[in-house]
Amino acid sequence: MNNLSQVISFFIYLVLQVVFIRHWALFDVAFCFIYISFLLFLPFSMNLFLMMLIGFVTGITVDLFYDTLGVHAFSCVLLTYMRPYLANLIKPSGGYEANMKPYLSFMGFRWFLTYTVLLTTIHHLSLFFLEAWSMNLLFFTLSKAILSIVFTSFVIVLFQYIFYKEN
Amino acid sequence: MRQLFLFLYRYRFFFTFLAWEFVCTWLIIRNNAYQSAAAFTSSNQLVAYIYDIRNYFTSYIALPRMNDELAQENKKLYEQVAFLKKEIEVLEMNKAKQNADFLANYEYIPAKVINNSLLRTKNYLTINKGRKDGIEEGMGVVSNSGIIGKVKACTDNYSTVISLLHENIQVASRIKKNNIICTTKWDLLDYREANVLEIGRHVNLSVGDTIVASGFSEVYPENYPIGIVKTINYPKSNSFLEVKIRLTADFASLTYVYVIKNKKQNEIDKLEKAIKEDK
Repeated sequence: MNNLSQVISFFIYLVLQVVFIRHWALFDVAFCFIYISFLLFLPFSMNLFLMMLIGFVTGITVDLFYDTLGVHAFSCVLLTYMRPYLANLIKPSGGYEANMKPYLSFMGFRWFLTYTVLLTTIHHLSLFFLEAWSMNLLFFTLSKAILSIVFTSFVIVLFQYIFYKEN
Repeated sequence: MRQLFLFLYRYRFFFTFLAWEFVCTWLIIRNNAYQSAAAFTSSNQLVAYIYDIRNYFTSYIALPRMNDELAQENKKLYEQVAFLKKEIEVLEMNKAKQNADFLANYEYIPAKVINNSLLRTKNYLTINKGRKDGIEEGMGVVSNSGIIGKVKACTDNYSTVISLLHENIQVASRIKKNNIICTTKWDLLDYREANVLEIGRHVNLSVGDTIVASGFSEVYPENYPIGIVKTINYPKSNSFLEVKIRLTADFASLTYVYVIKNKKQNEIDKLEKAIKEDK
């Protein structure tokens, strides 16, 4: 049952990303990559091998739509690899319990915001610099990345309030 | 040996991670190469199909604007027809057929843009015509107002086009009024503007001059407009001008484009090959 809902949410996020959010760009520089929330919300207990595989598949699917073969996949694998270490870094005083899910309603606002911003930062920085493929326009790329981090994180948190409330 | 296995086991996640990232990096490098397999681009059947569906719905919203544009274009075309009719009379009188021959060399294949990007450093378009319609890799793509790009990959029904807004694209161009050759390259910052390189300081150039395709590459028709000079800088440390143009093609609202088929491409290729072999 849980697996099924993960698969469904994979498709929902993907369609949302490539059909609707693809053309969102605040001030022409801030982009929203909402699909990464699918990777953020995978269960804590998931095996890291499996998680990296899912990261790769998610990334490569988005790449197909963006014509950036490998770029999103790279960032997603990086995100999934770093996830357990970061989660460990910011673990609550009692550690993680078996029934906990990485949602705002379970973990509280402060934990959730830290978690989202940190992982989004890892994903977006690697994404924008891989896409630029050089250190030319360093400041321009950096500003695009930072504004997009703010934008994506904001939308992810917003979605938590709207869609994940009943949990 | 046991130590080695223990070591590998201990860092098993890290090594898997490295392996994945290696695969990704390989894909990126391969995709950055100019040509790549059509299966892994947006002209991939499934991906293009999804874009097609989305486009089916969104195109209704754009209809009023498109009507306007078409009406404008029609008006221009009527004017051109009138102008060309006169031109033909003159040409026939002079028995100078060269110009007409030149026009006969190119075929314009109309196509609809089903996907477009503007804000990345490597931008692509997807169009709804492919190999079945006679499109091949390397063909030029233009809109009614200016140069758009070059076909990167095609499947039977769709093609991916490298936009002029791509860091690896350069267009052989020249200044219309005095035929001085130069190169146009996107500035990576603004989808409305591009840089023109390799114009010497001595060249007479002023704001408002038109930059057109030189036709050397045989990809774009000669004299097809690219942009209009917006600013000119005279840098102290460089013998070339820093020229910025405003692109005549409006990339933000592209709906229809034309793929240019050079009917004499085979002959040209043959000639160029002969020259290479001669060397």
